[in-house]
Amino acid sequence: MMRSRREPARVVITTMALLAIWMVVPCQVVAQAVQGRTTSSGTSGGLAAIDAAARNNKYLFIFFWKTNDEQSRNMYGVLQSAMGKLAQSADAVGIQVTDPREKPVVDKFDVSRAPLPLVLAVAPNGAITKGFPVKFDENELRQAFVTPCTARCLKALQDRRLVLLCVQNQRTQFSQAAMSGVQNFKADPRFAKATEIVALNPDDRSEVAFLQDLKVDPRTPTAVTFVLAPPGTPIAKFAGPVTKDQIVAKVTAAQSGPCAGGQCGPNGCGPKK
Amino acid sequence: MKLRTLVWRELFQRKSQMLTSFLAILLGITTVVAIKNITFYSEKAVARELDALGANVLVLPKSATLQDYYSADMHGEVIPEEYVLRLTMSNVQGVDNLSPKLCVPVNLQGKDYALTGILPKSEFQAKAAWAGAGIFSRPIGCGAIDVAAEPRPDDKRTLVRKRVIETLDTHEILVGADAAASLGLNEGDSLTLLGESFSVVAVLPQTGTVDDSRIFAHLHTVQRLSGKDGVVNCIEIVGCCKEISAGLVDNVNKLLPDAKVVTVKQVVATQTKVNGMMERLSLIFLVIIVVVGGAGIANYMYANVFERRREIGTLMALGAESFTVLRIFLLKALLLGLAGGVGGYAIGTLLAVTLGPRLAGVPVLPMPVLALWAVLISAGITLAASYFPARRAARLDPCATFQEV
Repeated sequence: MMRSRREPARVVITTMALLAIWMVVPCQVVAQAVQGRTTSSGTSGGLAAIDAAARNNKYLFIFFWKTNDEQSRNMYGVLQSAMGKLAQSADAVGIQVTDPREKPVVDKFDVSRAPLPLVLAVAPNGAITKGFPVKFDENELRQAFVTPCTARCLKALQDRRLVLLCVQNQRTQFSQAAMSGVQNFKADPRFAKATEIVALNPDDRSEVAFLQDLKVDPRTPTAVTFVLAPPGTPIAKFAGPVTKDQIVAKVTAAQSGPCAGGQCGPNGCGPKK
Repeated sequence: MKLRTLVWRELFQRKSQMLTSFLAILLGITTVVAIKNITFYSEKAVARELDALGANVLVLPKSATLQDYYSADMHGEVIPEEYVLRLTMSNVQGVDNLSPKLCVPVNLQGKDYALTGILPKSEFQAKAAWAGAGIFSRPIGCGAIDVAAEPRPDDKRTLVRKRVIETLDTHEILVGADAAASLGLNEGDSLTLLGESFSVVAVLPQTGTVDDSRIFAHLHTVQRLSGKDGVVNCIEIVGCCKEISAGLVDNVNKLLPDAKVVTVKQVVATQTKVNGMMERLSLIFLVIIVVVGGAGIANYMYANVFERRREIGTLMALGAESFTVLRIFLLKALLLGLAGGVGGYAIGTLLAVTLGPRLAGVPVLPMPVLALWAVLISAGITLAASYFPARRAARLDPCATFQEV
């Protein structure tokens, strides 16, 4: 009799315990997954992951999160799912922005006030190729992979350097004249330290996407030179030969206006009274 | 007896009626002058603000009104600061510059000022490059640049025109022209705000807008001191023209569905509507003056002429011409009109100058041209209303008036 009386209570307790385990364990698993490497050691897992990815010539997706809420868990799920398919070319790491051990990473990217969760895609050369705030999907994550030349330009721009992108090769006309003008600009002491020349071969098939972004035909018969200014603004495009003075004029105009080209803001498209 | 004496004595016959008519004219003119004065400076401030604004798109909290924006965002409604980075990192094309703001009231030397937190460009602009490779396909000529080459001194006074500044330390402030004048502040001075000491790095040039009485500090410092961490009252966007017409506002709306995104054109439309309403209001008052004031004056004059017909008759019997009688009454009306006009202008201007900054949030100065209008309208009404009673007095037959009496 005694056993039979206790039986229902045991069943209830066991059921409740199982239910509790069923509810808590997945949350813990996700939380640990999101925490990633940061909880496994006393030092910043983020910095280690950045170094490792650069060494292995891989992209790194850094998942910044603050609270273990539904949005963070969902987005981490999206990232994990994408990583399963992109493991060859990318790693991922989770960083809780409030974790004191990860302060160097949070400060490095200055994301303490960023919309969270946030994924930053870091190219092997250290350039941030895309930021994905709050909500993203697998396809969007794939957009973070850029061509080597794009990564070089982004890196230079993120280092606050002016990029003189020379789209040319031996086939294109005025290559020499364009390169000469660009090099003269770089030789100018006013711009020397903060200018980077990036050469782009229009025949390079790996750069087709970049050429598309630049709206340059890969079969272009003439050399094309772009002036890109930080944080990532195209300020001039020259087809054919270009001189230092032409580039200086464009850079000066862009710097002096209330906005580049003076097309907006006061005296631009603001209301006329 | 001189004409002047006659007019003066005539004026103070039936004092209570004269006072009532005079008050009607005075109050009417006062109201019209005050409305016109405030409307003029409000329009001027809006025009100047828009000219100096640079920003042509505003991101506001859903519940905030455009009037809140013009009254220095002291509405308390907020949006998350993270919207700035969402905009910066987005693929939305045409955002040239951003300026988030948080305003909190501070009381200094017994006067209220708006302490406005602003975010220097250096703290968010670099993140625009996180938008990815897509930035290279953006139109040439749109987007403020940040070239490290040839470092130039950062003239913080450009804030009033460009809406953004490059750098601002956590304990540096920029002071609006009016605030600096009333607080006696100059560059290099220090000022204690909300318990912390700040150094004045620039006194901003006069703009004639609400910015003149603002004190600008670093956004994050203002957030910390006011206990409003991670929020702002508004984000001003300098958008590129072509992209605004190509749907920039819609794109920002999609990106920030919980905020209200408006273009300055809409702001202008709203402000013009408000000003139009004020204009109509002043017109209504003008009509009221004409009807009530004019009727009052006419009634007062008719009664006066009727009651004093014996004196008028006597005057005429003694040799006064009809024209003299006409002049007496018209001069009396003119005096009433002049006094009403001058008094109405003075009181109206005083009201506008004192209440204008509180009601419309703009500094209001006296407008001498309104004095001319006030006197002309007031004198015109009194003369027109008095003409027929005066003519009646001038046409009185002395014999008939003596017979009546």
